Amino acid sequence: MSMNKRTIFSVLGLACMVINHPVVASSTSEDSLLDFPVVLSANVIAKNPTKTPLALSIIDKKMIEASGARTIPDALRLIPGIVVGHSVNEFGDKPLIVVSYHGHSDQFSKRMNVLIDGRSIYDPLLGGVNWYNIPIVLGDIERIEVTHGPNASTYGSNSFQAVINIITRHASEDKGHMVKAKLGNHSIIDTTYRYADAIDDLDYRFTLSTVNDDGQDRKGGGDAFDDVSAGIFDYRLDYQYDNQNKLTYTGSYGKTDQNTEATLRPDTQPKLPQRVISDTSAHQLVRWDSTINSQQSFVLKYFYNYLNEVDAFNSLPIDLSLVNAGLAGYDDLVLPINKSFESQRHNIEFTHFINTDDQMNFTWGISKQNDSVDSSHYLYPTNKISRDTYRLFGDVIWDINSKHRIDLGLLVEKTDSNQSDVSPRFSYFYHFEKNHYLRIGVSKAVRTPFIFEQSGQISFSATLTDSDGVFADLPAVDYVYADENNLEPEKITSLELGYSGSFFQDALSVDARLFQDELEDLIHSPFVATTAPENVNGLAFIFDNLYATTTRGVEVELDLMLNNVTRFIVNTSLVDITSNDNPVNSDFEESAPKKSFSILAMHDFNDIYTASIGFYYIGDMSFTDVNNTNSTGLINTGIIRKLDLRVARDFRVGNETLSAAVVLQNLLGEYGDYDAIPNSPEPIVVQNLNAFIEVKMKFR
Amino acid sequence: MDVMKVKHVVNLKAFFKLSFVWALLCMFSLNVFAQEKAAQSVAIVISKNNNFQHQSSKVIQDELHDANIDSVILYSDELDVALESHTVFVAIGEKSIHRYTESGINSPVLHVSNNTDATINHNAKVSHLLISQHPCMQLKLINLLNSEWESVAVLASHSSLKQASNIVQCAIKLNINVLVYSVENSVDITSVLEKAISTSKVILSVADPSIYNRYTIKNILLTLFRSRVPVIGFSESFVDAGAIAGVFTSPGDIGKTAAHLVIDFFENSKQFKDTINYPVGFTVKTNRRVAQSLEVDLPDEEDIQSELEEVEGL
Repeated sequence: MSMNKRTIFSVLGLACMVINHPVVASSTSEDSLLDFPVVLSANVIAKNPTKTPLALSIIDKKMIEASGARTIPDALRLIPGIVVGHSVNEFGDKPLIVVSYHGHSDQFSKRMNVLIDGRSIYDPLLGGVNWYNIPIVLGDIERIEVTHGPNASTYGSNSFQAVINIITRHASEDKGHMVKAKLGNHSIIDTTYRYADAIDDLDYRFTLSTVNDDGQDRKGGGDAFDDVSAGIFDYRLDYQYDNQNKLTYTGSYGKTDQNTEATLRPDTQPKLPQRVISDTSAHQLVRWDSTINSQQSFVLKYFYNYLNEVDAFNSLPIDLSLVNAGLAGYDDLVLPINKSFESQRHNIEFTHFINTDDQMNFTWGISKQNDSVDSSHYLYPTNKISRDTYRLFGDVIWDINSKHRIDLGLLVEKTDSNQSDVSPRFSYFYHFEKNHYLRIGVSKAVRTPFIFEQSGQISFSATLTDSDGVFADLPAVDYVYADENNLEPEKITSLELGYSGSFFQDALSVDARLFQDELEDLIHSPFVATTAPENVNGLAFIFDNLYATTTRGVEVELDLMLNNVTRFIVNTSLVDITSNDNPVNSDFEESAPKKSFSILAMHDFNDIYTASIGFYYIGDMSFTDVNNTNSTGLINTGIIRKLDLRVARDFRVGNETLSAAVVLQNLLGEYGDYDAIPNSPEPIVVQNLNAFIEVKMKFR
Repeated sequence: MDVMKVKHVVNLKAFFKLSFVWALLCMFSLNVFAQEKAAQSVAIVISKNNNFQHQSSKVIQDELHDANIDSVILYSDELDVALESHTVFVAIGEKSIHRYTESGINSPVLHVSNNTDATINHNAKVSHLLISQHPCMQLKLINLLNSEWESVAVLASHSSLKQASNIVQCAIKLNINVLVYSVENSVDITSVLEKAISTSKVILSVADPSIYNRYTIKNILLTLFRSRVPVIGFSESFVDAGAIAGVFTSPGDIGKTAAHLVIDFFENSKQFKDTINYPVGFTVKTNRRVAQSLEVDLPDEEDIQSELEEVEGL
């Protein structure tokens, strides 16, 4: 642009401002201009997305909104390598949203770590996360970071195949009231109210939210019994004590009721009825960020997680003659079952950040975590187990010069049930040209068995009666999940070659990686023969370190911004899992799609209308706990093609903002993404058209 | 013996006469001197809890002392004493000038503040000493830090329109593209900032407390950092908070400039030469951690300082 044009535009711009400018009230005196708290402290700026030791994908607030996601897993579909399924299974288990990265996953997704603001939320008993019961609303999320691969030294225990770190917005953002409602088919009624404000140096925000829908439909028509009803209350306080010290306090309380389908298993196994499972969860987190000086800062953090699940019912009548011919004379048996449990987690952690000079950065820390679970059903006969985990971790970043960087990380972890485990990480960066990096990395991590894997035992017993009322003192049915005292942690060694770069003045950013993951001592629980006398049919599920696999592949992400109004986000993933066992274990080999692809396009029309369209392609795969009993082997989900559309309009009402959106999901027809009816390639439930409108208003 | 007595008496009388005259002369001189001293008395008004103002006032006092001018430091919340004996006031900050105005004092005042619209007694002779550096200096800093930062965004409210206007005029001279974004109220800051981020490589901050204050600064810096867009700060505190760099006036520089303006005032028949004054001397500070994280290679602070000192004619 020539200087004359620049002059004209600058002057015109200023003139317009002068003509149209309303009166602005100063919110504080000039005397405060020279007294600012430290915001970008060492720990805040520690992460540079282009220089993280492992590939890092970010889903920002705009992407979450544009995707039309109603749940966090909906948004996670935008990450290459991630697959989302909805389990309504033949075991009569609680329906779960299953998020899997590079396969190897059953309904509990236990091979990844999920954190909210640095607080790990995976369940210590069964592993995994109940995404219906996470006490956070999408509108309070600033971004979601997904680390591809093991990064235990940064994120701690269970950071195995991937890490999902959900970061909420600072309480100083989004001040005022916000009311949002969603109404749609499948009985979708979601409501959210949020209020945020400040008193001097204290910023606070609290959010109330309800979520309701009738879940999925059955294949062939009719509503499946998987309705969800949830309510949460969460809050965040950020207090700037002085310019160097900041306190953050968050808390939540949530209750979720989920309908659960009856068992569809063969008659030889205990059958569970339709019922409602209630989860209550709560957390408290306190965090102290302190800037010691321009080179050092530290973080001291404590959090407490609480989860209580109530699931007590009577089984459907069991024909004992089908269980054991010798029991033919006895009446059908109804078992009282109480699968309720309560889990608690306490964690305290100290992290110290040091920048010695422009070239070296150190981080080190220690933490202690206590997990305790109370369950008469899963932990028979002890009923309660408590486990302590101690961690010592550190990270060194050495910028040799402007072109070369080395990043070393180490975690030493010890639980009171295991020997110590060491998880090292090494990455090398080559900044070969401005805005272009190559990254080579190797990292190792372990996954400590969950409490149920390590110590779980389930036992049923009942008194048998026959037509004469004669009682037998034999246990009727006994499925034993035997604990194996020598159960080892699972291990992963991950190699990666990555590229990260930007083009056309940062309009296009590209991230690509080649990877190879070796997984060993994978824990699985086949139904095997046992000589334990309690088992009337001589079979039980037993956890053991049984398998090993190699996963290879490539992932590519593109983010293209055109003229600041149109944005394309494209992801693709090619994954191949090879079983290293003999005979080959096809459970894992088919647990990830060989090809998956997604594209999200967003466009802003004059700051009034926005539209977005998302297309997802997921190749066929099957989760590891999906079984059929026919001779053809595993049943795949089939290729899934999904198309979502969102159109929104913003209104200005005085000084306030009102927005309305229409979201249509699964426009390309129905599909099943998790399970199948036994002896049939058809799914039990299907994802089909979701249509809802969303209205949001912000006011002061 | 009688002659001696007389001579002695005569000598004593002369002595007393001389002494009396001498005393009169002394008293007269002292009085003149006292009046001159009173005519060169300065009251420096500051806020009690402001560290920057404390440091500046101390430097002013030391400089005036070296020039044999009396001064006293007063706190704005204690400004209820009769102050007609002070020839001129130096009011640092908005609080000080407001209290000065409320006190009804009519003496000339040097207002040390960026806010030239602060309420001042219309009968008083007023001169302003701005705290911020000249906008051309800040734009030159941007050029020195990274020549690829061709598009610069400035957020301005109604009260910082003049500053924005000065920046635009300098930008024209320096051939830099500056876009000014209007902030109507504090609720708008984030949305305006996001628009600015989408069009600009760097944000140049103006000393406007309705936009940048300790309550909004967290949101602003976090939003900019997530978008990988640096901000040029206007104070040392801002750079420490997370701005990538800044050129600003230290308390010492403000103090020295203010003191010299007061000395000139007395030498100029108790008149301020100019209504608006810029501080002499500046300090450059960079935040290398932030620069490293944003992958910006910054020159050394000393090199930037010396290059900026060569700037002329702006």
